Amino acid sequence: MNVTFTTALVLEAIAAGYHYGFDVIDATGLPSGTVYPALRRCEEEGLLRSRWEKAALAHEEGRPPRRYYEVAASGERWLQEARARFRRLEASVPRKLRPARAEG
Amino acid sequence: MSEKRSLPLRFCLGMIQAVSLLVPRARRAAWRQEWEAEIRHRSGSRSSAASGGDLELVRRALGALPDAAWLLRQLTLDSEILQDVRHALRLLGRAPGIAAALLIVLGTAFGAVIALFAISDALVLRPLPFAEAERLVTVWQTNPREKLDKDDVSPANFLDWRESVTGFSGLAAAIPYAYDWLDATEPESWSAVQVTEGFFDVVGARPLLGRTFSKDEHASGRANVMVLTHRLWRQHFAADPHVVGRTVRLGAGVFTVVGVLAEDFELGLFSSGNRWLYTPHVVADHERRTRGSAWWNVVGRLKPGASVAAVQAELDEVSKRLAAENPRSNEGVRAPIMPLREHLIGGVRPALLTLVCGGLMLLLIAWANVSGLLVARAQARELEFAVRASLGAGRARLMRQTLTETLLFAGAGAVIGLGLAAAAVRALVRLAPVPVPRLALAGIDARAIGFAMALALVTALVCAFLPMLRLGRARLVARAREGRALGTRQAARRSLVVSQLALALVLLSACGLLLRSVAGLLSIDPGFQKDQLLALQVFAWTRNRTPASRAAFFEEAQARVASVPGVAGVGAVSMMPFSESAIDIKSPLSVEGKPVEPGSEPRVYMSVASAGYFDAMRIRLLRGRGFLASDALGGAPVAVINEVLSQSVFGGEDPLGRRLSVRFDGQPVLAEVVGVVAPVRQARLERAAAPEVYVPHAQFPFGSMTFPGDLPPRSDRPLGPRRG
Repeated sequence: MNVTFTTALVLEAIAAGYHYGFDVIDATGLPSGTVYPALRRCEEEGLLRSRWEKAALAHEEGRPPRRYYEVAASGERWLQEARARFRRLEASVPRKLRPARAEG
Repeated sequence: MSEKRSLPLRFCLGMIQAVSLLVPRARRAAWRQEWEAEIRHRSGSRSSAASGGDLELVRRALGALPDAAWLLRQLTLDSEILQDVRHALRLLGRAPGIAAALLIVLGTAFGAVIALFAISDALVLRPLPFAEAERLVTVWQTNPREKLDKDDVSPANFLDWRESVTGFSGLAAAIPYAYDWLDATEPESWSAVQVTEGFFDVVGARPLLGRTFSKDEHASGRANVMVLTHRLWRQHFAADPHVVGRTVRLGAGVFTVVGVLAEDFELGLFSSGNRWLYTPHVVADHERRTRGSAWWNVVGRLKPGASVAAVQAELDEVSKRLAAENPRSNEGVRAPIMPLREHLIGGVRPALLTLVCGGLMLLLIAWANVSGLLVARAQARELEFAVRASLGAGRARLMRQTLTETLLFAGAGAVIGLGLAAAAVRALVRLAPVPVPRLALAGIDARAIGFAMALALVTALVCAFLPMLRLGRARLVARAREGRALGTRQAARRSLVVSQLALALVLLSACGLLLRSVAGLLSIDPGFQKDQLLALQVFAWTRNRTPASRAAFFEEAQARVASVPGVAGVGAVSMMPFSESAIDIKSPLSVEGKPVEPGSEPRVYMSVASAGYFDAMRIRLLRGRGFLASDALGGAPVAVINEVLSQSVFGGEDPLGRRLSVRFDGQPVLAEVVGVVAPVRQARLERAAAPEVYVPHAQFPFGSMTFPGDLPPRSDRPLGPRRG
């Protein structure tokens, strides 16, 4: 699939530990109308896997379970390639994404 | 868990619910849950510093709209086309008769058109496989005696042109030749080309392997090298990549292979079909003086910037000078230039044009046919369309449905057509009655497949046009609840039928005319029994250097061929009628007692024939006798003439016993006429037989003879015909 900067950014955010749609929006600063289609495309291409959050947690908050995204193996590879292609990607990723690997 | 919801939250959730209607049903629930969960999670954890308040939440929720639109576009487009295809297939299954009719009509028409494309592509459209082919020309000479505009070239004329004309960057001759291959268990005759110096540079051919001939290989004694054609290399040398350097025993000596030509190298200079190998020609002394007989083929490369007209003018000057210097041979002889491409396709162009016109007409008929069928079908489906339109199907949607169906038909038709075309091209290439240059290159390749696809697309658009016009009316019909006057539609269909009939009639009458002329050609009596005849050409000059040994060789050869089981009769002749490589000897002829001015005698075909030739060919003897074993070397020379010659020279007088003067081996010979035979057409069915005199081989021991062998019908032929 096309290596676009948007897709790379979204994947990078998920790899950095932002697993829910709105968190990705927060982390990347991209509008929701851009992030969601990107998520759908990535999932269709097999770069992302998704599942529902545990029902118990959601029940506690009185809301439906959220959708939990994670980078699939092929997504990792894709990301490697994208990083190589967008030399400046690291530099332009918002700072907070970089050290955030510990989270998740 | 207070269920007290703020206004922005309610707004957001309501919007998600509304937008979710856009999402295809299969994914709707999951989609809605995902958005709801995020929004409610965010609004629930308001304390989080990341949230930018209600406004930000609404802004985010609005992103659900592009998300849903993206999903909609992604999913529905695919599935609608799938739906269309499925629907079309279902309809096909319901009306298999119409479907079969459509496919047959389209398949045959496409087959014809694709086959024609493949052939035209090979012959005309594809560039010649030579560097800067537009500068390549062929040069011929006119033959005023026989009123030919384009005859082969005599050696001395070629040598003079090469020396005198400055407009060529190179001029070379190709000389048809044949070698006997002696390495095999059974010797084979390979037709070959001897080429003069620089031939391959002139045509601009680069060898696939090895090299072409060097300058000193055109010198006497250094000429035992050969360049293989790709075909010979593949068929007889198993495409051996190390073939360069190998030696091959040919009748004229041991030859070393120095190169292999590329696969697409087919010069097509000769009318005599494929040639197997190339050898360098060494210009002999006698060739520097030979102007009377012409059998060389000349190809030249114009200097960059030189125009055909300018070089032609220069050649005309040289021709005039040569005519003044050699009035006997060159009186009125010109040297016309013809671009190589023109030479290659000029002969087939009228036939090709006729075929292409026929093919286009067939295509038009098929289009009219298919349109008619589709309109009829659309009429039958009016109700379906009306119902679908009233259920909200847009006109564009219905049009797409129609187009999908037509495309499906056209695509299937193209596949059938490709199959038919492949078979047709193969058959045509094999059956070609006369060798057509580059025809063997024709086949179904990527270009033909691309053409078929384009053809299918155009056909779909053309044939869907009329049924699509009706779609605008479908709504009307639905509104009118059927039963409206059908006037305009009928008119359209009627005009379709009329034009179809008119086209078919034109095509039919053209076919009829063509068949009639073919039947006319076939009914022409060539003057000999043409069925069950095999011919074997033998060149025996190199190993039979004396007249006596040549006479003995052919006598024994004929006897041995006659003893092959299944051969009913055999003879030998120098010029086999309709043979690709007939060697025509022309001799000045005069009658004893009817003196004519020397040099103005008529030149007639002189064929050397063996005893048995007339019987083997079943050429009718009209008067006197044929050749006998008693007409031997050293005896009184005899001759048999054909009726045309008898009429033109003797008129009503009795030719038997009269003596003719002919020239053989440069010497005049007086021969007594002992018989008259029916005329045999020499080269072309539609051309009447020319005057011809036959002399017996025993007395005129020529070295290049063809054995025609008469086979009884349906024998399992012991001698397989070999096509070169």
